[in-house]
Amino acid sequence: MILEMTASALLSLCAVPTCASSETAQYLAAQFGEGRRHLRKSYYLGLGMSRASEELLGLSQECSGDNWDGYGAARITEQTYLQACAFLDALPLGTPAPSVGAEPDGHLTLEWHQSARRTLSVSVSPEGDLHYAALLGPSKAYGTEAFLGEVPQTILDLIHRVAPESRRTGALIAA
Amino acid sequence: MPSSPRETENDLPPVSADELLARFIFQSNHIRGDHSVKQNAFIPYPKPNLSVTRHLGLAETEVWEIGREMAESRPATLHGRADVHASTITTQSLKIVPTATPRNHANITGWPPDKPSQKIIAQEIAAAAQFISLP
Repeated sequence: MILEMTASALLSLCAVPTCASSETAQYLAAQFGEGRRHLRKSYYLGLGMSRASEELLGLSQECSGDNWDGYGAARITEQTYLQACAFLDALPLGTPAPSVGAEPDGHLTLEWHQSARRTLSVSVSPEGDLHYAALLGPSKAYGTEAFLGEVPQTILDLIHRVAPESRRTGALIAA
Repeated sequence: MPSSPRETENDLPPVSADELLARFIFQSNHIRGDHSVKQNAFIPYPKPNLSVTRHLGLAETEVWEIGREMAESRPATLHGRADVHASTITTQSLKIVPTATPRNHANITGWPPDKPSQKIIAQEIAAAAQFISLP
């Protein structure tokens, strides 16, 4: 049996959760993941995700001790770092890379920022909770979603609203 | 020799709407490349309030002096400060409570307990804040 993975399949906009059970399905899932990782290395398709991953690691190391902000901040744990990495990896190809940050309660943040009133911040907790807040001109959106291996649609929609070009890039990749 | 009277919370001048408040920044990652301030700098933790310094009656050099003292006492690196008007805080239904010590200190209180609500308020404050680099 020959398994072919087309570019369009690899470039699918959504990550595939690895809940496969059969050998073939597991093989496909592994190949899919490898393909995504390979494409992430391309700056254009990954849109700087590799750089964001490196920044995430550097920041987690920098904030691995308590009081890193001078006001008594909690340290960034390995669990939080791994959750943030998984979230970053699950972002659809073509999504603009976020800038990374740390919050005093030990959460890592991924931020898509165009201007003071067009900005989205997503906090990743060690438990995998995604707390988000966005200013979109005169309106705002905030809440919590669980991260279960896929980026919640609510957050994807907010990324597209803050960075509309990401929707166009995603459509081009899908085509 | 008579001791000088100690200032109590009740003696402190009330905070006016146009008064400037400074949040000293000890983490470079809280500032973007364009010198705007991230919401991360205004998340209240570990206490349920946010510590700021009132500009009231202070010269610019004295404001920095307080920031440097704070940096030395932690110890931490002072990168700059984020200035916000008191009205920006009260518009978010938060309170500014002056304290007798340290000098010109105040706590921003009344934060909601849940993280998303804290984040959206922190974003509103950050959007109005002005970052001043350490001279």
